[in-house]
Amino acid sequence: MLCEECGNQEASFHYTEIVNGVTTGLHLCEECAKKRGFILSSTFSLADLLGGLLEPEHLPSLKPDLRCKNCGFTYSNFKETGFLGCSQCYSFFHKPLEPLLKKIHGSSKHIGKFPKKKREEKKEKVSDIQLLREKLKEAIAKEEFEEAARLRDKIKETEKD
Amino acid sequence: MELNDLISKTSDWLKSKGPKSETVLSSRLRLARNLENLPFPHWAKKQDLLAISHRIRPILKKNLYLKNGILVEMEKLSSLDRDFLVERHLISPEYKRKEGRFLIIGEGEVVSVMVNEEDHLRIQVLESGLQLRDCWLLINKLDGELNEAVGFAFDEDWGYLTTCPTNLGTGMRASVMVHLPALTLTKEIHKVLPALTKLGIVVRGLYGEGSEIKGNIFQVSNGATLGKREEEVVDHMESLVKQLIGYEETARKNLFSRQKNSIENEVWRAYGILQNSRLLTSQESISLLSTLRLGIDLGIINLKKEFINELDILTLPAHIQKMMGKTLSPQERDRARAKLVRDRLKES
Repeated sequence: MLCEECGNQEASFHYTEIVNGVTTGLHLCEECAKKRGFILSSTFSLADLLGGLLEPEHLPSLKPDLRCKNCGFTYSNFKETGFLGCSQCYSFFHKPLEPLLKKIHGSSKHIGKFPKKKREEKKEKVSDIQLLREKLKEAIAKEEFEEAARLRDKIKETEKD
Repeated sequence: MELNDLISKTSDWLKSKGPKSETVLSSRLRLARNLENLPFPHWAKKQDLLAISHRIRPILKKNLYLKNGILVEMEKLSSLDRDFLVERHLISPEYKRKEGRFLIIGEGEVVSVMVNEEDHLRIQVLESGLQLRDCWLLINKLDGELNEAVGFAFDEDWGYLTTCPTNLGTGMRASVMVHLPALTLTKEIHKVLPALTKLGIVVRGLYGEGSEIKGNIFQVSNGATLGKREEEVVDHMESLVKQLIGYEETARKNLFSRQKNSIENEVWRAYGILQNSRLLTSQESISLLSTLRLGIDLGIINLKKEFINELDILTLPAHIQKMMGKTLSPQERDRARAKLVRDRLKES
């Protein structure tokens, strides 16, 4: 099989990405795999690697001095170290992190353990939403459209929290 | 108990009592956890680190699994003691010997927690043989108890929030240490390792990131931490390791049936050198001990496996020096190591 990037060399690097159940494959020669940052040079550092994953597509709109309001960590600090500054950094740098996580983990959604309190909160929220949805159905059936609109907005709001 | 008491004790994971202990030395799980809103250790100021450490300390000391444990202040630790704890797999080589950082070790060295390493908490469970499922039951319970008391940083979409995004989600790393001498000898390992990598498994040396593979001992761990359930990762790892064991066993059988004489020769020679040498480098001893371990598993030589496990650790540089009670030059270490091995072999 020839490299999908240059089409000249034999592909020796095979990469499979599964994002939300959709599988995509990539077959590259060593040279092109290196260029794309898949193969590490000997001066490898985590920050370089993460930075490389961040760099090209997503970030023209993001200022390097974008700062976490909780701890003061900047976006360029992240690119230098590969680390975040505190748990709230994840909200401040949400936008560039989302695609990065997909690249690192093949997913950007946690489906593992929830701390007990959060698990209970989530259950409550889900049952709240279910209740609201039922009410919405009833309101539509009764043609109470003003109430239906109010319920629709409330569902949206609860889902966002 | 104090740190120096550890030298005379055998960690539980070295006792070769776990399942599949003919190939699997140990199973380890660690969870990365952080407190909400407080700066992560690399970004925290001294007073933040001290505050975090003060908040966590009484909670850890009260916990059932750590109650009678050993608490080690990193700032008070000598570099020899640091190396000693690294060799025992209780801390990472990167753990700084500075204020606001401490390690707590539970009985038998099964449970341990590093405070203010890369994350605020690094919780570890280490057991003998292939027991990732057991490790998970234990660490899950411990994590739940600590979370009740502290409240860890967590996001519904992204899971447990960690210093490095590569640990985000479950914050869990599962590692198994496997002894694969036959796959190495037959060079089949070069086919096996790339296959594992394709399945999202990371293979490294005995001491984690960047360490070389010694004594045919490989550390196999999971890669991704986001988008998979912990139980799923544990099951996946266990079944992969079982397959790996299967390959190793087949390679051993083939090797033994085709090259019985030369394998027996290697094992007895290794025994002879270990019994008689006057200078022994750590590299040489770990590789001879690997041969001896294979000899025990193949029934060529009758020694206790626990004895090899113990020597694997005791012959490491920091352990030798702790046993001698002083720092030694490399040559003094080689002499002390040779004597230790000779004495132990006489006893066994």
